[in-house]
Amino acid sequence: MSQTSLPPRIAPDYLALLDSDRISGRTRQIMEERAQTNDAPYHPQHLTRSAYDVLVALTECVLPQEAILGDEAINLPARIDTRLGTAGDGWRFAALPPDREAYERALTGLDGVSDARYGTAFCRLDPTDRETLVQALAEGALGTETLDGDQMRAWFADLRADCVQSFMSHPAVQARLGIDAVFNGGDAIFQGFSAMGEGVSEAWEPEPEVAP
Amino acid sequence: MMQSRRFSDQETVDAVIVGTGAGGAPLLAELAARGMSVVALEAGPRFDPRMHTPDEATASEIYWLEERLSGGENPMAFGGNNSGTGVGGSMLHFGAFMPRIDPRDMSLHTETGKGRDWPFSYDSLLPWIERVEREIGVSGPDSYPWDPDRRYAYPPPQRNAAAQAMARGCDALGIRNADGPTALITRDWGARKACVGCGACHQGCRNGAKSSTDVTYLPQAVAHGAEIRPNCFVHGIERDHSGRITGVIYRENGEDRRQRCARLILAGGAVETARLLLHTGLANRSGQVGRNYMAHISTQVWGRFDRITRPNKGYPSLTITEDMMRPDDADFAGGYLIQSLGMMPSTWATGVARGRGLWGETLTRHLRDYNYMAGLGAHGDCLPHEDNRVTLSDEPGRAGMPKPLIAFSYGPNEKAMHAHAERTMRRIWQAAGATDIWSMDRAAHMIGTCRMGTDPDDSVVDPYGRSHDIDNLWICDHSVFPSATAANPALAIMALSLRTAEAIGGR
Repeated sequence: MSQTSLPPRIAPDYLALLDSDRISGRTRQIMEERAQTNDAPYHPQHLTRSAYDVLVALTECVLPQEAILGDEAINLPARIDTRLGTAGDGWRFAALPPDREAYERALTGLDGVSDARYGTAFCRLDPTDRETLVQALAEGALGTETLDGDQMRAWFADLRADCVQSFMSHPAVQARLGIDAVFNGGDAIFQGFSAMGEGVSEAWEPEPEVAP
Repeated sequence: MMQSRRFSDQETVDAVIVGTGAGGAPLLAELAARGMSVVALEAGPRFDPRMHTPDEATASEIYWLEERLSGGENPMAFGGNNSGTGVGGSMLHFGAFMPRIDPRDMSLHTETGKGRDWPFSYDSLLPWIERVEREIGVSGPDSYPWDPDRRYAYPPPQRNAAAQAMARGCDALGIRNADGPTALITRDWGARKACVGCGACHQGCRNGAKSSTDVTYLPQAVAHGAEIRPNCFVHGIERDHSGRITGVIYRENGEDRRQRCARLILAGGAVETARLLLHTGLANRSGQVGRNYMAHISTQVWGRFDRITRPNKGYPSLTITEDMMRPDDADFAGGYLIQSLGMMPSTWATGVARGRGLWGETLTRHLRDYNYMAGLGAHGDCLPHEDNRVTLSDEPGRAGMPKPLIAFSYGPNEKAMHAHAERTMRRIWQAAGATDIWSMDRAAHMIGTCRMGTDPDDSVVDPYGRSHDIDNLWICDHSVFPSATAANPALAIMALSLRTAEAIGGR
């Protein structure tokens, strides 16, 4: 479970690339900090505890991590809560309130629907009922007291984007998938990529650890 | 590099230019070369290109991150890929795809009765386009299939997997294709180095290969005595009793300052330029400021390939076809370009999550296949519509200026074009052997909002970019475009910038 796990491990070959001259000093530092962030005992800074508990359950449903990270996980709700304290990404749906408020209202509202429909909190729902609610959310068929179905659907798109951005930018995920976007050149030598095209890999490039 | 003098606040400079992107930079260089005293006020910081990073989360520092409100039936994503900040403006992150406008797109109304003609012909713009290409460095094929007389100074960069797949798919269907025109150099040129295919154009070019204004017109401007003043956000315009502009108010380090000027040139882009004019209430006798907002119909189609593609490698969008600029079976006015698409992982994953709408186990399993994906993307023309516009919201933004509200919805023409583009690109990907093909509708680039024209009652500026209402106010960015055209806007913006500079003239 993401709440208790350590940061996901990174294979030695990939760590060696992170130490190599194919990555700039600045990018290496960014990746190392991200890899080492241990937000297991995370306390929400921007969402209320009750909304955050819904977020924990919801992110497990939106982006289950096992197929890529096995029994390890990145604490996505923690990353999202942290993100809600930043300036944001330059835009929001005009139909929604500012991000933090939209998250708070949507998560609280989802919990309310869960309670009304199943008599229990969202985070205690069984997986089938949870998926039923998320499916309704995705289809715009789940309105809450403060956000209607269209607003909830728009917010759910924001949530999906927040989940995959935190996930894909993590060096452990990039390592498992054999992604080498950050190894596009170092400070002393800016190598770029030399061989490219369909079916082409350079000798040094990382192979995916998880078979597609 | 690019350290410039600072004019005193008391001095009345010949021109203040707001913005240092494709609109502001060429004109800044040109006016400085003509001996004018010019100051560019840039809202963002000065970046060291060597410090750009391919990490997408961090690279968002070169995007315009002040919040915009996006409405209408097709709300557009801003920030990443649409609006930039910093010395160099949106050209710091632009994709460097540099097709020329199709001449027919400048007279779409004459051709179809829809949209709006430009107030001058392609022929009168062409010399400026050629000059920009020569001055910044553009690569392209020996012979361009849709314009065989055209010449490019640099050979194309290496094809990545998406470019190869698109060429193969098009060849199988008899669709002409070529290496597209790209605003990057493939041989060293002075301090600028040849493109090394690092794939991070959208995160900022680290070696000067990409022909952005930060390595082309801006250093030239500084060499001619222009000042570039970063971190200065203009939010007020001052005028004398006759209504002529006397200066601007800008916020720097939390403090409001004034720069006096003999003329003002706005080059902040179609959202920010309109926002400043709506906020100050100027130059809007026509009521057209903020109206005619358009965007490119930028439908994407993605698919999975059996062989590894590594989508982050190489120049992202090299292969082009212009065969769909006027397809025989079109049920819409205008046309669209198609380009191949590689993409950085987080940007691609965001498209999967938002655009394809996946969640749950199917989302994770799709993300897992990143290294086997390749895409195609369209850029199509867009008609102006009454409801598509930039207005001011009631939420205060930077320096107290209201945040802009952008309403955008596809009309019948845009819907028909999107559907056509999706069909065509799906066919190309099928022919190329892709599986699990999916598409997402998407609009990109911001165009219109201060359109040029000869009639002061229904346009904001004249055909040279001068305000109909205030004779020392000029606009020089894609807000003046009367129509969207299908071409990525940077080249035409720069061409118009040089043309406007000539109209402003020397001292």
